[in-house]
Amino acid sequence: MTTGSLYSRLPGRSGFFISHTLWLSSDHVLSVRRNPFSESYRRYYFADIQAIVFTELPNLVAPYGYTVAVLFLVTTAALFYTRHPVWGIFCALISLATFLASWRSADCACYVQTSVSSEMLPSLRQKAPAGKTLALLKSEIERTQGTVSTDLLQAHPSDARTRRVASPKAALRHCSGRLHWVLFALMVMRGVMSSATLLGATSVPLNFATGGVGTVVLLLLVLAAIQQRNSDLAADVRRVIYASLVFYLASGLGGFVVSIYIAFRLGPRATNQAMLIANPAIRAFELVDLIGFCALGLAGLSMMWRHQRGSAPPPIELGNSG
Amino acid sequence: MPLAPEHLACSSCNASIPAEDWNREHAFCPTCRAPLHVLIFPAFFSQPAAASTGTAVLEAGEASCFYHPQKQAVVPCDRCGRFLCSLCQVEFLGQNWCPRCIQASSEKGQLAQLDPSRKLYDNLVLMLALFPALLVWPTIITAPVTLYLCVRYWRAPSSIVLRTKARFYIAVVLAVLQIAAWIWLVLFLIYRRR
Repeated sequence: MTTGSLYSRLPGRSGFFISHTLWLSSDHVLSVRRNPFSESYRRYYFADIQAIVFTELPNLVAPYGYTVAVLFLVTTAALFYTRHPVWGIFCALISLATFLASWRSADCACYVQTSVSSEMLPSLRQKAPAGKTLALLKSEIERTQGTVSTDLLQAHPSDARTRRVASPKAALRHCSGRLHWVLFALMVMRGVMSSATLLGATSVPLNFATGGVGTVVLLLLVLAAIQQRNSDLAADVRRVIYASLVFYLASGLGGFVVSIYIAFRLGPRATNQAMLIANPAIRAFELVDLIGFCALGLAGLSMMWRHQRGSAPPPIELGNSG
Repeated sequence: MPLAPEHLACSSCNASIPAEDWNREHAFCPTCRAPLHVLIFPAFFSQPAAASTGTAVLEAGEASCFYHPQKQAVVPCDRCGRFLCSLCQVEFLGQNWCPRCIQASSEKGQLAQLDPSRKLYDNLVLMLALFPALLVWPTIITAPVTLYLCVRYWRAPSSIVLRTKARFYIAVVLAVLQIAAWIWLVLFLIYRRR
């Protein structure tokens, strides 16, 4: 039995590969979660809906997204200027995708409450479509249930004005720190590789290796930052990880700025490897990279050593009966 | 029992929203000052009806429930006609159904109103027709499989919301074209050798 014609689409949509939409029926609203191969449904009957809470949220993602989009746009201009049209088009597409993702990022949240559940409506995460949908839902629900009188609202106790819903504190997890050891060692290695470039010992395999190690360091940094949350790892070690993440991002941004500067300065000559290595901006950047990675890596290693020595159980002393 | 006000919480800071701000436009969270709008409906204040467990049969010969012979029948099932007590009676789609009819219909996929999920076979076949074509050679296997899946799932229940069979049509056309291309290639190689 197909009941496709029973539903009409409500404004609001979220996600790309896994999307959420809302559909209106005569007696309920249907929340559809769609992945490429299946759909799952949640039904909220108008007679059961007790409340809908709509909250405007600060959009934290959009400013960063727009900044990244602009950076990619600048890169596109630089690539076209240095006659790399294929990469230019690639960067332009990334810029467009980032811009669209930022434009569609969440700036509100909606919860629907029934007597047995309180669930978010993921499709209503932008103010304009959420406002339209809530107006429609309100009229449908009030047609089914009627309206709440002012007397009833005033009679309800409101002593919860300042109370907060406290979430239970989670116990600290144990973190062995193996990932952190590997990561700090790789950071030192990455710094040493930068020093090789600085001394003029460049080659294609070395460049590939430096790039590979850099990528692994970034991945491990993200994993370590996730792993150390709510863990018993020393605060100093955790701070080094966060500082390294910030340094990595700053280093990436710095590298980007230097590349753009050189691209506009040298123009089509920017493809000359020897000229690039000799450029003082590149050399200064490599030096900062070397110092930063080595310092953070060595600091991390020493703090890990201190942490593990401090948290190691006391050695078992075997009693000597003699 | 109506839920305690703590249950209506700000999505930004999780603080409870005072009753004064319910059904009021341009309200703000008392803790984080996030703009919010709380829509309260009469169901919030209503008491849930106590569930009936059915009345026991008092006299011999009195109609009893099919599933609970000790309970008095109050209504027949509009699907199968079995007598039901008030415990077994389920009001569904404006009719009285017994739990077994609902379960059976749901298992057969006849009740879109109860389906928790649906497979999107049309998307599956479309992807099977499109993506292997990027590498060309896998289509020698995937094209017949796509055609088979189209025939197999043509009448399978699709999404319960509005959805056409366009993806199925596109997949069939692509699969037929891919098969035709392979046949042409084989024939071309055979005749060229002769």
